[in-house]
Amino acid sequence: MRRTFGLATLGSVILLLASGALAAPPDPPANEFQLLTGYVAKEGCSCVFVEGQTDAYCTNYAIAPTGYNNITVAIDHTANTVTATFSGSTRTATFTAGKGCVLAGL
Amino acid sequence: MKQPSIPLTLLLALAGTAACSKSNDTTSSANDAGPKSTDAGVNDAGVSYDWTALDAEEFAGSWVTEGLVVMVGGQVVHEKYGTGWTATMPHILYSASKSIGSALVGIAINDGLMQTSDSICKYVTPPDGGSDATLCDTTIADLLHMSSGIQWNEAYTNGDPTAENDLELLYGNQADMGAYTASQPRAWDSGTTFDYSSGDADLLADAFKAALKAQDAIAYAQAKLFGPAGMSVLCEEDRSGTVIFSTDCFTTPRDFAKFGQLFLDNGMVGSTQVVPASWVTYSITPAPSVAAPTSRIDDAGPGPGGSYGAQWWLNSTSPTATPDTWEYPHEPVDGYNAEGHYGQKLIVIPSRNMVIARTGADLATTYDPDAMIGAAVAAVDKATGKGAQ
Repeated sequence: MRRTFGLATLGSVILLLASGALAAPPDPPANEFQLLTGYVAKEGCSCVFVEGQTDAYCTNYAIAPTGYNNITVAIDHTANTVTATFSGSTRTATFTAGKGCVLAGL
Repeated sequence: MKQPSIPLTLLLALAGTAACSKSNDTTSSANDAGPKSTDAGVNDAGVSYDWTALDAEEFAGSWVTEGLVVMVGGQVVHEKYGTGWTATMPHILYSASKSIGSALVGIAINDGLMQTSDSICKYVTPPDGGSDATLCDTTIADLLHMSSGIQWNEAYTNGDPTAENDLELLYGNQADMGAYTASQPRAWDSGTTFDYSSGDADLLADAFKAALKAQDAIAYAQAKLFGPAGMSVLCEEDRSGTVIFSTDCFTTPRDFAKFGQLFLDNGMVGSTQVVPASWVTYSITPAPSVAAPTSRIDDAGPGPGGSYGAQWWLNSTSPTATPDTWEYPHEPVDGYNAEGHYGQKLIVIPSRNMVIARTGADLATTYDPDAMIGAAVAAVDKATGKGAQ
């Protein structure tokens, strides 16, 4: 059902205005290669540092579904990071104890 | 596609071919021999189970099963792990995490912190340029029911990964996943249309965080749910510090099963009401948009779709729904499921008093649990002499 304008909408406008200033729009989206390396970095990081799997398992786990075997994966057990590089895009996810992994923005 | 939260179908399209080289080594490792756990298949009451068919389905075929736990009557009666996995290793749950997020919301509602009827604008300030003022028509219930009306593409159908909202949500450039969701345009009136959306789950997480005010969400979850339930769970956060309800919780298969047992026991652990019994009922009651017996969810994944409650998949819309409308034909009609990408499954079957927790890494082929469920139910029915649907 497509959206129709009505009293509920008017009420929403009032509620919206009452809630104060509007938040900022979302961050600029990633391109397809940034998505690809973002996927590999994040999945690889959680696999290694949260699940405790081996580097070999996690590298394959992160890369295999993409079909790109030439994605470079760097696992740093000192910095607790996994970095994926492919076609000019590099993304890094960082593990924090008790929190898990977070993928860095662009 | 159901439980997709993770993108790879599209990335496969991008790549042109899937190159999954992970083998399904079926050698199971020893479990950690915890209490009441046995692969011999005999429980404390002396009931003997034959898991031959179940293990053959999960560990001798093409599925990549990494953990399997069966509980009957609150007792672990079968437990087996794939090569490289043990009972103490946490496993990602992907979209099965949504059911945990729902339980946390139910607890927060019971604590008087929020209500299902609340507009999300009570908790979340709409982003500039977002889904217009009508965003405030969306309620907490709408988010729980995947019926926000916010436009969302999680179907992996057009071959363009940048068009997939859940890819951008999880692996793109969004610091606040809920805010990203709220920024999308509107497709339907709130509450009218089921549209599976990891964004709805993460917008719910934003509302949950705001409802807690000064309380830390992870600490709240530990104190109210994970601790009392005896579960060790880690749920990751986005860059804004909001717990990701949609996909990123990790736990062991045994604790995954405990979560199912918690719901099977109407939210009780011993004499403690951890999740309100009313929330358990609410969770497994079909959402209004998918409640009609003939309104099974159109689902490209295995199984016809069944129905959907509050972040739980339901095997059917009602006890009298015909099997052709069920999600999984070999699952008893009253079953309900937490399900995640790559084969994460938590199967709860009240009529058999049983729970199945399955973790896996079926990267190349979409895992279909129907035969696994059938084999497990058959083993229980044979051992207990039961079998009524």
